[in-house]
Amino acid sequence: MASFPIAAVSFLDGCIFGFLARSHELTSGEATSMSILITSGAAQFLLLPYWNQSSIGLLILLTALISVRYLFLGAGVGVFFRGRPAIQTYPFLFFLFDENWALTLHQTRNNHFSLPYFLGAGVLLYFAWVTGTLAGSLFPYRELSHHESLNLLIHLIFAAILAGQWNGRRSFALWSITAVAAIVAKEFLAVEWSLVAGTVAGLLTMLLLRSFQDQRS
Amino acid sequence: MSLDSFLMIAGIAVAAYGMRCSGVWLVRRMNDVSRVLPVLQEFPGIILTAAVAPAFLDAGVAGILPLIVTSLLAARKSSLSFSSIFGFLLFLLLRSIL
Repeated sequence: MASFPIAAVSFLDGCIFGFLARSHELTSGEATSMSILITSGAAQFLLLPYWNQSSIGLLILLTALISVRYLFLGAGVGVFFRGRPAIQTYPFLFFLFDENWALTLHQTRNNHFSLPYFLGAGVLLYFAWVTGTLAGSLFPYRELSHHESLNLLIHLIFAAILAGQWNGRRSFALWSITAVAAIVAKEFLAVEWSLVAGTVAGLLTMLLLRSFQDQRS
Repeated sequence: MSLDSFLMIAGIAVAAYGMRCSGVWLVRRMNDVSRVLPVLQEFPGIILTAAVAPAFLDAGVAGILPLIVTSLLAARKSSLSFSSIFGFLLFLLLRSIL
């Protein structure tokens, strides 16, 4: 029952993705296939602006980097899968999402881990996302003069996701340097290289801050 | 859908699924992941910042104000859809009057 409101939001998010995918010249089949196979909202939204102008290698790299949070989600539920054979573990992880991860951790506060609970919530969210994408991609779409505006909607979605990552002064320092590097790179290089340059600058800054932190402690 | 598109989507799907399995794989093999996880935790924020910063600078005031509003709404636990659509409507309004 707890999954139903979350699934409704997932359906709406899927509709938005499906509609935006059409604005980036993906077909309804391509958008829906992305949701069926990739089934990661953050990655799918992130890839849209780069879909028709970047190499497959860059798209895979971006997917891997934006999906790093699954490391944490997996680590969080991984303890519940200890002792199970791989065949009874990894197939179910296809349905690992932020929402059923959070629901599962909440549920295990007072109860034993329930694989049907984890899987049931995950499957519901999956179908909500996929059907939402299909519905959004079939929405009557006309060549809009607001294509640039729709790009900004994607970036506003990124900003909403980013807000959840805020971690005080450390985030301010990291993100400021990242932003400056990305903006400078966009002025002199192609737009997709601004993403790479910003990310590299941010990662180097992160490692530097970590080494300072380790030296002080 | 062309074969090229399908193969591209399939390749990206493998990367996404691989990352889904990575956390469980790590926990099953490492006794102590506490040193690794904090480092990795900051990756998504860095990538998203690199993606959004140039776009909002290009959009000017009409883009930066909705960025702030969307971020604040999302930080206060508003849903992704609500906060981003609200910010987008604000952007359309500002663009029409600025």
